[in-house]
Amino acid sequence: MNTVLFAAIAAFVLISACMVVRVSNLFHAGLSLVATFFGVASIYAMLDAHFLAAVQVLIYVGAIAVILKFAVMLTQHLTEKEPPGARGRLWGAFALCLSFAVSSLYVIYAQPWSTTTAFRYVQVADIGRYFLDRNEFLLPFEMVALLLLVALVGAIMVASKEGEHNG
Amino acid sequence: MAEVGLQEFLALSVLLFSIGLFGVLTRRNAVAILMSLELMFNAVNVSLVAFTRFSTGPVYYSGQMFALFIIAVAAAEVTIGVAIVLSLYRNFRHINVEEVDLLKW
Repeated sequence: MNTVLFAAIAAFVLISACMVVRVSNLFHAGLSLVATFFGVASIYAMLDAHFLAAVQVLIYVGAIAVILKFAVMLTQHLTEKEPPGARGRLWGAFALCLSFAVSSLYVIYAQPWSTTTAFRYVQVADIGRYFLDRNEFLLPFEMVALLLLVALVGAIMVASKEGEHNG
Repeated sequence: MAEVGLQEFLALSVLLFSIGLFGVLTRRNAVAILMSLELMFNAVNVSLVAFTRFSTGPVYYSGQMFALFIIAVAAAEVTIGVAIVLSLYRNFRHINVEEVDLLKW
């Protein structure tokens, strides 16, 4: 696999992710989030998961990022104010995340993974068959359908105005 | 130069997850917290797809299937999250999670 390409995409993803969590203007953070999603989609393409790359762009960039932009636009405060005493909490969270990352990286690189270099490509037609195969993922597939329905109804219930649905 | 293997992709996943965790811990705006959550979902998906690519087992495709399920769950999560944020904003006129304390003792 192309090392230079991977390093470039990984650096792009990590830098734009850092911008998502640190930029004070929320609209700019949302734009960085879109950039991160595109970077992750190209990581999927590097891993021969082309269908997932397409789904990533469709669902994350096309739906989730747009919904979050709507939320940014519909609420008032576009920029975050740092309250007093935020520095200490910032460093505490940084230390926690750094220790998590370092310990996880240690585990990853100390572990002898048995990996293959064989070509692992999951065809789109096979993904469809696995979804509807009783011995594979049919039950989780139906559960996800139910979950999306519940989420839809729940979102309408939560977001609708008080008393509007009493009819 | 060393070949890019499973460990490099897992390292990228861990770093992305840590950045998302940092955002969840430090952000005060509820929408920004949702954005950081999406970063963490993406990190998990990267590791699952990498496991599919480098797996030696016969059911190697499970990683990609799980990633698809996680994307669906993330879509449901962000829908509910934004609905709650808008409801909060209607009641409080702000979405600072530190000052939303209706359920606090």
